[in-house]
Amino acid sequence: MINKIIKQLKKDSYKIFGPQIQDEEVCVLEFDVAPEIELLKKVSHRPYKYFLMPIREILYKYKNGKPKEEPNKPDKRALFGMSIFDIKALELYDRVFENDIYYQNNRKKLLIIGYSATSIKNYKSSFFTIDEKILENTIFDIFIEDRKFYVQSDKGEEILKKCGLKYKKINYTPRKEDKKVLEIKKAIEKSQDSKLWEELGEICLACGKCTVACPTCFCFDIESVLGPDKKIERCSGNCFYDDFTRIAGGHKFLNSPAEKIKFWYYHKFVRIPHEYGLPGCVDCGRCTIVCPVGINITENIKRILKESKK
Amino acid sequence: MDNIYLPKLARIVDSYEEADGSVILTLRMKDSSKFSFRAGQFAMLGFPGWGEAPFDICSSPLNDKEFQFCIRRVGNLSKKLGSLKKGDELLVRGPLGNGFKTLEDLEPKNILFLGGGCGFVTVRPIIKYIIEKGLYKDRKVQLLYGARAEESILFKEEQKEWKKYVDVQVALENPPKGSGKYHKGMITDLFNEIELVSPTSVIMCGPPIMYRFCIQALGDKCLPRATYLLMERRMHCGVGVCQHCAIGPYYVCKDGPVFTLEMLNKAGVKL
Repeated sequence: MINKIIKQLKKDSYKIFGPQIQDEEVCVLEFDVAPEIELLKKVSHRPYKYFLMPIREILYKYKNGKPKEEPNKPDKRALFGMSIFDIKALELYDRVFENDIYYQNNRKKLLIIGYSATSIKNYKSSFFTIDEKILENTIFDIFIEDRKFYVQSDKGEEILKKCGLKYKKINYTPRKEDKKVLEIKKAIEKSQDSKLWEELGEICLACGKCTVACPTCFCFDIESVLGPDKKIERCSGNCFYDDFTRIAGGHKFLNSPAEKIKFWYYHKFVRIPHEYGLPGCVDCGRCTIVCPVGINITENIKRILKESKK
Repeated sequence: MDNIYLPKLARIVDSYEEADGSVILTLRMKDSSKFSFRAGQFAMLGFPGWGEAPFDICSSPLNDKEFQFCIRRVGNLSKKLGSLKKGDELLVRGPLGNGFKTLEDLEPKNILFLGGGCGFVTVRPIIKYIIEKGLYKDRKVQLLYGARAEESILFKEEQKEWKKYVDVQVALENPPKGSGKYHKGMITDLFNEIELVSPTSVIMCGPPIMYRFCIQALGDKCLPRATYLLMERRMHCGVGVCQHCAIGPYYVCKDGPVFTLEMLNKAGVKL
């Protein structure tokens, strides 16, 4: 059945991206043949976010000294096999970049195909409340749950129709605020003097791998690129690197791994909920998997929650 | 959908040197469009090939045709902007940030400015507004300013005009010998040397370290008091997305640069 969909997507001239092995990691790459089911069962090591916002893109160029918009012309792309975590991250991106013309241009050309090898009832969260209505509360065009198919959009429906597959139509409604999100937010705000930050600061290498692996890390730099055609590009940023907060004259506002890691947790668990009412973390565990010194986000959140109750 | 990242061209109609290696650029939008802003707002200034960075608007908010920036030459971009001449063009994106929505409604009515370093630039549009609107008539306005030496005093000439309406007191670390014009010491030393207006709205424009010492030294003076702080950070997007300027739950570019001390304290932000 998956093969049918892949064939149809190709017929509809989509470039298809999904889980593929590269350098012993499950990455998200372009493919022609449906990925092996084993690959789809696991959450990919790498997130899908660079298809939502490229690592580097031109915002505008200077023509005769005048800034001239450089509209991005994205291809029709299908993101196949996104996990529950990845489509939750997509919902956040859609909100954060609501007024961003480059994001929206690209987003219009994307077809989102979520996948869960087993019943979505098996989906677990280690520190948020389990969402009973995941399929209603997330955004996708097509969602494949084992052998069942769901659609949210017309373009998703059209593809399944052409494949002759039976499906159920679902309407998206944002999730009611999870009380647990607020609880974690308050606990982090209260954690200013917790020893945890110092302890993490001592082992954290500030390598930034967690931000690359994280499906919700979207921060970016806007850079002036020298060369024959002077242009301004947006490229993904990294709050663990020293130039992130450095200003002219050399002063920095984040000065140690401890401060950086706290800043990162603040983004996920305080700033994003404060602004959007959504958690800034989808609890996928990728940051824990890639961390070279074994910093475990689940343990840390649990500890902060415990400390806040004292 | 508007492109929030696209700057517009502005032309330099005047430029003159200020203290401490700063230059004041007077700009006009090239397409003659209005540039309406509130005191305390900033804009991203850029030059092709040199990137862009946030600069405080330092002219009177009552003039929306011509507007000014005081640029201290400390980095690559500010040095480039500082080398531009009358007639040259640069890029402007803004105004951005919250600024003071209604200075008229500040409560308490009296205003005590505490300024230092290059953050002092933001005092200027507020003072200009107060003078031009005659807000000094129904309240006391006091300005305490701390600088290293006489040659680093920003807007020294203009301050003579301000003094007609506002009580201006300057503390210098190294005052020139024999001149009785300045206090010797830090800005916080002034708190004990002169009578502060009270109750008062305190507006602080300077480096965070100055905020820390000022809040401590103010103690229980001038109560009840409302405290406003102007924050600065590295910025890229200027619209609250890119995360560079985040402080606690806030973005300096969107929720600031004007913050109340209460807001920052509540969110557990340490100065």
